[in-house]
Order: sequence, then C-alpha cells, then structure tokens
Amino acid sequence: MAVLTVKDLVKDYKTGKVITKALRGIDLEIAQGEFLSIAGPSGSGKTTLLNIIGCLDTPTSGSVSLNGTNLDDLKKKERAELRKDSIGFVFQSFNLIPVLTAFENVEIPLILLGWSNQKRKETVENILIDVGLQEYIHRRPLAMSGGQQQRVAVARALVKEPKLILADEPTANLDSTTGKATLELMRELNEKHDSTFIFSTHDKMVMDFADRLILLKDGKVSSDTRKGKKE
Amino acid sequence: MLARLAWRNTFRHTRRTIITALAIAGGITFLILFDTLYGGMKNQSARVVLDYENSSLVLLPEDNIEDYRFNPLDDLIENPREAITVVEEHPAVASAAPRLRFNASLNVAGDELIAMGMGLDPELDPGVFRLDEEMEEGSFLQADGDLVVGSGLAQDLGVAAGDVVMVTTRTKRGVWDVRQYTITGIINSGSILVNNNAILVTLSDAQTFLETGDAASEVNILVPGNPKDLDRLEEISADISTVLDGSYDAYTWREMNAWYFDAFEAEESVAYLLAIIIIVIALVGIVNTMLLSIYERIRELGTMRAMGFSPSQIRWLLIAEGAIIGLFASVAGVGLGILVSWPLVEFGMDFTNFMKDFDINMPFDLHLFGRFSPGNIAITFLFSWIISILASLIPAHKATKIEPSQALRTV
Ligand SMILES: Nc1ncnc2c1ncn2[C@@H]1O[C@H](COP(=O)(O)OP(=O)(O)OP(=O)(O)O)[C@@H](O)[C@H]1O
Ligand SMILES: [Mg+2]
Repeated sequence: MAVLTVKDLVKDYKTGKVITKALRGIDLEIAQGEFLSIAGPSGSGKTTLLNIIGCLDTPTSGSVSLNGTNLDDLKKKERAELRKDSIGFVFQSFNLIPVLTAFENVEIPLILLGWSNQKRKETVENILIDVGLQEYIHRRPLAMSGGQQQRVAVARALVKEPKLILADEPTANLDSTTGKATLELMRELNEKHDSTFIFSTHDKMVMDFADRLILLKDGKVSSDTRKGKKE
Repeated sequence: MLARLAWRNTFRHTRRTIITALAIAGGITFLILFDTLYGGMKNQSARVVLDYENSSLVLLPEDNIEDYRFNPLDDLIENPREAITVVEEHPAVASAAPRLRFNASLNVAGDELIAMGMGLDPELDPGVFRLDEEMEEGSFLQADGDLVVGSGLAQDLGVAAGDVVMVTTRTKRGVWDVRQYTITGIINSGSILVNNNAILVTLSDAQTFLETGDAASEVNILVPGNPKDLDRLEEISADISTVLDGSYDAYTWREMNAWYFDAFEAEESVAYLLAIIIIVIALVGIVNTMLLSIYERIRELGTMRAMGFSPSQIRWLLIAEGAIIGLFASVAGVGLGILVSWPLVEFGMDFTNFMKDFDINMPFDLHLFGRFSPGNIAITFLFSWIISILASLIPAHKATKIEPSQALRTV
C-alpha cells in the first residue's frame, strides 16, 4: 500500500510579475519502507517537491496524501502536528541548533512529543550509539566534523521513528567517503525501522545507492527506475 | 526546554547581549541617580522649612497668607499667648511659639543691606525650631538687646560677633526707627533664607521696637509625626481654625511654601520624560538586537518549525530571550544606579562654594544629600523589565511569521 501518493502536483512561484513554474504536474506513488532518491539538475524542483511532501509548503494545484490523509485539507496547525508526529527532516547543511549538544538536539523531537525524561534519555542515547556517536553525546555541533553533525541530524530525524524521512541533498556538504557512510547509516535505519526515505541529490554515487531513482527535469518526472529495471 | 534554549541563545553573542543590556542599564542608572538626588532635595527642603522657617502648622491672621511675606505688620495676631494656650490643648500639638517678622535694613560703616527681621521667644522658639542648634559664633538669643545675624548676611557686611550694627525699620505706625545693636551670635543653619537674610532679636525686643504691643505675626505649631502626612495636618489645621473661631487660620508647611514645592513637583515631569527616553532606549535596543538575532538564525528557526515547533512555542522562546536580556539590564541598571548614587546618599554634595554668589531664597540646603526611594527603585526595576518584555513581542511576532520553506532556503 502506498504511504505517499502525489497527483498532478503543480507549483508556481511568483516573484513580482515573474512566475517560475517549479513543478509542472508530478505523479508519484511511494510505498512503505522505500529507499528512494530524487535526482535532477539544479532548479529542477527537487527541494520544492520535498517541501510540499513535508508539509512545509503548499502546492499551487494537485494533491499529496500521506497515509490516506490529504495534506490539502489540513490547517496550518495540523500540518505542524503532522510534521511533529510523522516526518523527519535531514538537511543539506545539517541545521543543528548550535547552542545545544548532540544529545539535546536529538532530544528535541521527543520533548515536542511530550515523552518522559527517562524514556527520552534511553532512546536518545541508544540512537546516538546506533549512529556511532557515543563519545560525542555532550558535544556541541561546532565542535564536530560535518559527517558527525550529519549523523546527529540523521539521529534527530529518526529518533521518533517517523513514517517518512525527507532528506534534501544530505550528502552535498560531505566528502564522498563520509557521504557514503551517511547513506549506509540511513539504509541501515531504513531496514531496521522500515521507515520510508526520500532523499534528493545530484550526486551519481548517491543515485546508485538508492533502490529507486526518480529523475526530475524542469519540474516533471523524466524517469522512474527501480534498481536494475526501468518501469 | 524553551527556557534552557532561550538562556543559551542569550549567550550566543555575549557581547551584543551585554551591550544591549548595558545601554538599557545606563538609562536605569541615570533614572535612579536622578530620583535619588531629587528625592533627597525634596526631603531636605521639607526639613529646612520645618526646622528653621515654618513649622508643621503656622497660625496666621485670617486670610493673610499672601500678604504676610511682604508686609508682615499689616495684620497681626493680637494675643499670641492666648492662641498658644488654645492650640496646645489639641492632643496632636506638642508645642507652639510666636514669631514677629519685620522688614529691616542693616547698616555698617556706610554699607546697607536689606534683612528679614524675626522676633523670637528665646524660650519657646527652640521647642519648635532648631535655630538655636546652628550657631556658628557667639550664642543664641538670650536677652533683649541680643542680635543674631545670618552667616551669609554677616559675611556680605563683613561683620562678626561683637561688632556694632544699625538696624532700621518702619514701625507698625509707619514711623522709621533706628536702633544700635551689638552682634551676639552668627547663625549658619541649613536654611539659605535664614543665613542670607535673617536678623534675629527677642520677641519682646521686636514688639517694643515695632510698637506692636503683645502681637505676633505668626504662631508656629509643632505637630510630631510624619510631616508628609498632609491629610492629617490639614485635619488638625481645620480643628484649630474651628476652635479659634475663624479669627486665625492654620496653614500647613506645604501650603506656606506652595510656590516652591509646586514648582518642585512640576519638575517631576522631567522624571517622566527621562522614563520615556529610557523606554525608547529599551524598546529600540531590544527590538534591534532581537531582530538581528532572528535574521541571523532564520534557517535555524525554519528548522525548528520543520521539526514541529508551533508558532507559539517560537514566540515564547523569543519573549523569554527578551525577558532574560531585560532582567540583566534591570539588575545591572539598579545595581549601578545604587552604586553611583550611594556616595551622594552617604556623603552628600556641597554646593556652598558654588552657589555662594547666587541669591536664592529657597528652602534649599546647600549640602545636598541624596535619598534612596526603595519604592521608586522597585518600580524602575519592574518597569524596565516589563518594557523589555513588551519590546520583545515585536520580534517574537515577526519570528512566528517566518515561512519554514523560505527560511530553510536562506543560506
Ligand atoms: N521562493 C522562491 N521564489 C521564486 N522561485 C523559487 C523559489 N524557490 C524556488 N524557486 C525556483 O523554483 C525552481 C525549483 O527550485 P528548487 O529549489 O526546487 O530546485 P532544486 O532542484 O532543489 O535545485 P537545487 O539542486 O539547486 O537545490 C527554481 O527555478 C528556483 O529558482
Ligand atoms: Mg534544492
């Protein structure tokens, strides 16, 4: 069953009198547990698509439904709730909160969900061990390497075990070795929790890593391939 | 969690936070210094009036409050002894003393200066006033024929105790009369009015000199207790006027010096103006600093929204940050204010030399002491803190309007 269904999604940006057609009719079906990459040249609409799927932006027309809920029907507050409950984000530039330690950064989603202190402590410590950062638990982001920061960010996105993880160019600011390690980490967690991963990239290595690759061009899906075969 | 985050965010740019807080603190310091000086001045002026010039209540011939300062002899209390007996029956009254004021001039070796003559009862006057404690040279009035001269006046004339002077006055009947006195004392009190103008003689001396019989121009009444409780004084004054059947009116010290204290209180608008300036500093400072900090971390705020922080959580975060800066500013401001004002309260400031050549006949003590007003300090503290919090509402509101998708695109 599809976790995510995107139908005829259109997004226009208006800047003054100029209209940019960022998405020109996207149709997608994504199943639970998929490990999927969206690739395409700069400006092809990857970020726009992820933002709309992640309830951070609204489409001009078309629909997105997540677990059978049509995102269009949701009010602003409900969208925030949905993000809090079911979506994890990983960003190109990590976006950790610099004044908080690794532990505290990862803890935030659980605090927002109202978890108890004890339960939070255990869960956060476990996931930081899972991502291999047991020694950096009380470090602040600026005292960590990019790869370490991105692992904290991945842990932060996954700690609440959301149904959907959206990662916009998660490896773009990492060297290829660290990038690969991050992907492997995501893959591991994907298998462990059966959560759905969608990440955008324009890195060939990353595209090859995914089970399914969707190519965007000028706001349209130009190809949709599963590992090995073309659909 | 929001509190912890707010606390740490405040120290992200420690220097900026400190500068903002110090700007506000500087304003608060100034306000407290001003209030301390002003409060001290007002308090001392009241003291000067009460100790040397007018007592808590002054009994004057009916409706004579306007006239008495200039033409004290026009209208007199014919039988002050009787009035005192009646007045002292009031349970709130401790003591009373008559005074006879007159206009005079003082001549020494061809120099002439205008003086304010006062006939005092050497026995009764110290029960109400403290002039007798302020002798610089010689002694206070003891017998008829003694003359005590204010220190400023004596200096201007170049006379000292033991010197001979001529006192000229116009008697009740309108006749000019001159008498020769030997100065028996020089008085240097807290009152500029007394120091620069007064010549003191005994009441009986003045009465014969001025041909007024037993009359006095005023009866000063000492009411122990808080002299600032004017409502109480006014009640007592009304009681006394009633008992005296309306032939004399009792005025409070505040009414007697309305011209001065009214002007003084009008100056309080200066304090309001200062407060407004400080509000503006606080508002601009906090709004500016916080807007800057929002724009700097717009991506972070966008990330927080993406994670599911609600707009109102973001708002509270920023209000808390404003409250922390405001608290620092208020604590620092009050601390500095007290520190800077403390020497004024403890040691005071001496204007004697500075003001020597000015002829100010105000109840103003030249050795000025500040006076802390804990109430005003507390109000200043709370006020500046609240203003800081209110100021942070503007950037906080702005932060809730951030569109996460846009914020995340910001580099
Ligand atoms: N806020 C905006 N206002 C106007 N145009 C925008 C805005 N955001 C994106 N666009 C435009 O929409 C198009 C798609 O942008 P988008 O960021 O989705 O591309 P992308 O595939 O993520 O590119 P990149 O690989 O550079 O991140 C681009 O032409 C971009 O200029
Ligand atoms: Mg992009």
